[in-house]
Amino acid sequence: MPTLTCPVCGGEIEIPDDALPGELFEHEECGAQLELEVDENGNMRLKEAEEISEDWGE
Amino acid sequence: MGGEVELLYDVPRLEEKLIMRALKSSGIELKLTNVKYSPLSWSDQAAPVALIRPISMVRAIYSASLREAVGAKAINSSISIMFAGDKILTLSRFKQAGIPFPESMIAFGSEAAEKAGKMIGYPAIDKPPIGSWGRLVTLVKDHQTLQSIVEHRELLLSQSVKTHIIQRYIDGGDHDYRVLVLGGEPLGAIMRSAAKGDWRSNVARGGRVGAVKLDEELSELAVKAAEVIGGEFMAIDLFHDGEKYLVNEVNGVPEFKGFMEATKIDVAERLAKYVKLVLKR
Repeated sequence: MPTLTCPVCGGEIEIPDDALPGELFEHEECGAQLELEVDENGNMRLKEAEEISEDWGE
Repeated sequence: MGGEVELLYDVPRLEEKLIMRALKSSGIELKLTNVKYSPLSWSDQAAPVALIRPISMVRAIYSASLREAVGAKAINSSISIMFAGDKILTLSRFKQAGIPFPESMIAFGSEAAEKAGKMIGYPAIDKPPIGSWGRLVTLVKDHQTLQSIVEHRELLLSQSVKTHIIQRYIDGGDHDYRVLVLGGEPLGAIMRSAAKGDWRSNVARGGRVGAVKLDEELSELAVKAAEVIGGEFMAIDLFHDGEKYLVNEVNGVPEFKGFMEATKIDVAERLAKYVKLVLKR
């Protein structure tokens, strides 16, 4: 499982191997909602997740 | 582009992962497109089937529309996601088709909302036309509360949330029924009950779920509701007012983890089977 850095608190967070771009994770240590970004070369990084918007749902 | 099926999504939920697994294990060649990261174009070569799964209604409608434009079959279609995603458009279709729904009025401003509240009577439900997971859905116990809600909504920027659907509160409205409909057939039914301390039964709000028998009235209404909205894979939410079922709303990009948990029906597998049939047509 890859370990990435939380962009909010700088702590570490483990990402499951089958994680997908756009998937959301909560960093348990600091409570930040994070989104997984994967670039063209397959490099992964976390960024703060976008806020829930009024048209989100099912 | 490659692939027989393209799954378009933005925020992958458990549902999208289950659908992905089910499609792959039934041997379907799958292409994944995160619509937040990949631009879509009218020059793209589309896979024959586009499964539309963005969490954002706007992204879902537009993604479906682009894929339809280049010849893909979108499940669900752009138009059905639009009609399901806007509760006013949904109710207008219900009215035309003779589908029963809770008595409702639409108000575009404070004066109209206050008149509607008095006409419907209290307690009433106030909700905006767009939104999900019970967001901004309010149980209005009296006129003063309605006035406050209207005032708060007026301060928000979106025109959609300044529009009020004011609806008669159905006794027993702390639970509802959900039927999943796939290709014109009901898959099963569940009852959702509000979590302690809430009155809304949405699973996203912690609502409890249990399987219920799919009786004829429930089946017929759910199938008809999906048909008039035009969707192939839809979740239909209903109330029972003590005498009959009333259809509350339709979901065009349905979540189904609560449904699977309660019914033990493998919805993703059923969807994959359905997609295989569609590919053979």
